[in-house]
Amino acid sequence: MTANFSNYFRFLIKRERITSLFWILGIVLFSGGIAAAYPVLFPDQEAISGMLATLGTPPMVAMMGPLYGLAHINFAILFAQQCLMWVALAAAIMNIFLVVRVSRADEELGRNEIIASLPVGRLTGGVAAIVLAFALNVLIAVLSAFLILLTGIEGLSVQGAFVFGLSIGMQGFVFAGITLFFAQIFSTASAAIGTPFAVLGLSYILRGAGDMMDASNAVKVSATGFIMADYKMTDPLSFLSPLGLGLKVEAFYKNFWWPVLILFLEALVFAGIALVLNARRDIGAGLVPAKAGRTHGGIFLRNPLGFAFRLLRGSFIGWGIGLLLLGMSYGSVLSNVSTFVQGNEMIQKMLEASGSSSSMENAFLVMISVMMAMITAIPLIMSVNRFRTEESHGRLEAVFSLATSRVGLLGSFAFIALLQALVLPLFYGLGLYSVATKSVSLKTCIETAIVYAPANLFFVGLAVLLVGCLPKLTKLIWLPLGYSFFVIYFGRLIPNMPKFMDKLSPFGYVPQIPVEPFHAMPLLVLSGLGLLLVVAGLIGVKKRDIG
Amino acid sequence: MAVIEIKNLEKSFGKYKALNGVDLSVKEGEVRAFLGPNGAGKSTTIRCILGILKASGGEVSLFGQNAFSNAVELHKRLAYVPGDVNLWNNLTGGEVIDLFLSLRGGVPDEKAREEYLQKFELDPSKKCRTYSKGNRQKVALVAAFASNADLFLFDEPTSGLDPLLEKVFQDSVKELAAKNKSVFLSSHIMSEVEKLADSVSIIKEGKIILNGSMKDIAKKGTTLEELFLSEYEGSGEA
Repeated sequence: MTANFSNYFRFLIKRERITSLFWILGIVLFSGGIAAAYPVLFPDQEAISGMLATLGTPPMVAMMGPLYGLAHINFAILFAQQCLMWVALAAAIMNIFLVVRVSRADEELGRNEIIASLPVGRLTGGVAAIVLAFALNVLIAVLSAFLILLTGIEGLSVQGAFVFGLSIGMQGFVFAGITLFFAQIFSTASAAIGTPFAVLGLSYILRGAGDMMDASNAVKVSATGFIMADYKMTDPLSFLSPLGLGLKVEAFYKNFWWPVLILFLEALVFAGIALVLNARRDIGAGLVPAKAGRTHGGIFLRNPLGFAFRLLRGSFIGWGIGLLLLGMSYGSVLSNVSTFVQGNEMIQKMLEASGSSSSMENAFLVMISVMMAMITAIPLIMSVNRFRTEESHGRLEAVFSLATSRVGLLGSFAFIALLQALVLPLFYGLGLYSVATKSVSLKTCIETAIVYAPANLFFVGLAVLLVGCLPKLTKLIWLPLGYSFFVIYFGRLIPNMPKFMDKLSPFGYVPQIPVEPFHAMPLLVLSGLGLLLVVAGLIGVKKRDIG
Repeated sequence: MAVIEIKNLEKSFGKYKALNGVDLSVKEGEVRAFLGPNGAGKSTTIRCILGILKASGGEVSLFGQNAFSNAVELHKRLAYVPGDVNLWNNLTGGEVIDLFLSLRGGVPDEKAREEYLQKFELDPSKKCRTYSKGNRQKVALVAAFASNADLFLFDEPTSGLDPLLEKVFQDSVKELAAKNKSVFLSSHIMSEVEKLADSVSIIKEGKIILNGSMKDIAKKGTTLEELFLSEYEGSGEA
């Protein structure tokens, strides 16, 4: 079943070397770089205590992960607590894309057929994909362990560094297995990417719920309102989630190996089921058969805007549902904040003394709305970039051989992205409100969600500019978004982060309502600049080659 | 012994029956053409021959062995050129040819590779993303002709080639025939088939409606095109 494995495997490595190199370097340098930054970011005990106080509440644990080793806190533990999950998330995303690229995408494009006509075993492709994923994940694990050890920050240990690295690598490997499984079920690459992403989102939500339960119990016991000492992490929901399980290693403190082992076994189970399914089905087919399509183009397929909408419809609906669910899960965290504040005299007094009885809720609301806004930027950018994807696959040639204008078509993709920037926030705003009805008003939910739309308009503009004027550099758009994630989400935990770093991201200009007062001016400027960039991109696309 | 032997082959996709009793055979040294309009089941038949699809009923054997269960071994003796060749953007044509040759097993014949690269005027140093449809097809053709396979499967192999290169293709197939290799050629180009084929099979709605030799057809005094059209139009009226 795996005839010609070594030849085929060598070929896979050759195909994937460049892309994988970038992913691995990105992940490894990111974790090493952040580790090295800790002593600089937190120069004294005061800074460390300040951050631990921010992190030591159940809602923050739900978002950022559990705390441990508080009595022996050092830079290595702090680093592992705050970064392991995010690096693992990146590794999972790398694995999802990698596995689909070498399995279902090849089949869908028909490349696999010519390989299958050679003396290659029916399972060679599937086994090669999973072996390659394993090798790359181990490489990530080992390289990040070495790099972290090289930083020489306080509290490092060899065992801790390897348990940290392998937890990340094995979480990635689990998602390789899950992806290979879904690549057998669905016959299109987009479905084989979408479903593991949904599982990844669910893992984050499950872990958040489980870790929050643990933290709430800890807070009840400590009666100070904040997590002051180590607590039991026993909630089953976190164990169900690969992201939750990965955090149980308690790197640089207890250095447990069993979560790594369980993750590895989980990955093998998924991969095993996937290979069994793979051996039993026809090439090109999925277990869920593609439905018989329409025989005629519907009303959408009559003009460029309808055509663009038809292409983006699935992702529009999928992201809408995803954001609704994320909104609902954060809504449940939010209502937990209020019961937790109401039930705790100590913290109520503290908050009253600081002037606002609801500041904790509001601070949390600011945190999630900016987080959700940055997540919303992803589908917007993808909508604009779809033009480029279609183009580079040679599929726009036929479209442009008809009476279709370039401005009309790129403008249509941009228009849909702008529409999404206004509509998608409503989904998570409503999701948030539907669960947290008692804690927050509908008006606040919608306002805090929609206030970031101008920052997203700016991102749409930037994307259109790249697609229109610099099509080869389209993917660079992810850099400013990645920077924003880092500086807005992590940076706001860091007391002495220079203010200008916030201002290098469009999200840094948005007034943080309801904590800060509302200002219309920065929003108008962001929207205006966004629209200008859209126009510039549309002018650019008229002048360049298509293809 | 027949090189390809298909008996009462059926293939369903869910409720849709793509093949409904296909019978045909290709003898050693024979060049058999495979005709039929789009959607009649030509590519499905070829994919069953390749063991890429599993037959729902009937039998497909190559060199006397089951095409599905012995696919790997059989593919060492087989070369296939699809009509729509999709390749990897970041590999060059030369890399892909070597990949195909080495995956088939044995030592690649460097001389044959060079010879066919020149015949088909293909620049192997270019990345596949820069190739046109015709050039992608040439990659697959060179990889096929430069092999020492015994059976050649072509699925509309010249749909992207210019007339000069079509001539090169025809000459190359004639050389194969002279070396007693077997060829199964699906095509829409009647003149090409008349020049190359010894025999022809015509498929309609998943069933073979005619298996015959070119000589017999010539004796009837009709051209292949007239025969093809009469088979289709005639039954359309009935």
